[in-house]
Amino acid sequence: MHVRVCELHVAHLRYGPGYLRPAGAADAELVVRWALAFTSGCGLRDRPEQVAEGARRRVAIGDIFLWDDGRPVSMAARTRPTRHGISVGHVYTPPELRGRGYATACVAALSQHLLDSGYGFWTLFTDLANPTSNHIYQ
Amino acid sequence: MPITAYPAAAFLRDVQALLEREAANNLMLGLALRLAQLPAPAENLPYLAAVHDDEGIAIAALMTWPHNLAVYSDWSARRVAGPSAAGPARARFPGARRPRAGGLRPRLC
Repeated sequence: MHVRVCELHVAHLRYGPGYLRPAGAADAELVVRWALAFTSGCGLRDRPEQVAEGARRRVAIGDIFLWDDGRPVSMAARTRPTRHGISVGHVYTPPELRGRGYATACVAALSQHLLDSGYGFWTLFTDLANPTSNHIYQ
Repeated sequence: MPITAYPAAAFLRDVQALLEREAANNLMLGLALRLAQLPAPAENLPYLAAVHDDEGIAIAALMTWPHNLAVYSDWSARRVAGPSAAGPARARFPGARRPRAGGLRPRLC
């Protein structure tokens, strides 16, 4: 996989319907399913049990965020903080909910939240072969 | 050129100057910081290492199984064969990274 690392300092505040919220304990198994689908879709080699354990841990420490439009429709995670920045990853929308701007809204809202929290920038990796994910971050 | 394997805290102490471009090196820095705070389980130990030359740390590398080995050097400033060096023994290094001319271009989201 060829990836691009993006460094972003602002968020484009153009959200569709819904709102960002941290994933809670009641969302944990949904997040596990989405994390497994994300990992598989990206061709990553992580063991499923490792992915599931990591997803539950991330939910417990508040690192997973959901875009909620009456129900969770997209997710993104904050990860790997450094001295001045932080990364966003695990951006996933189920196939049946794609094409509605949910991931764009989720990432934009999370990035604004991170910048408001004091981080000077945020970064993410995109798969250069995935035009959708690259489009979101342009 | 000797290779030194490190625990996470010592890796950060020694390679942080090489990884000064924080955004470009967010993967290696972020993983090392996390490992320094939350050590990996014994059955899944990460690999953190640096290659030294006469000028100091020439290459930093970090691998958390099952992901690729991430390798970083400011190839342009050192006499180190980078991942795109021409030659019959040219090798492919998944995860190998280097600065691009002009550096990272900030993008709007």
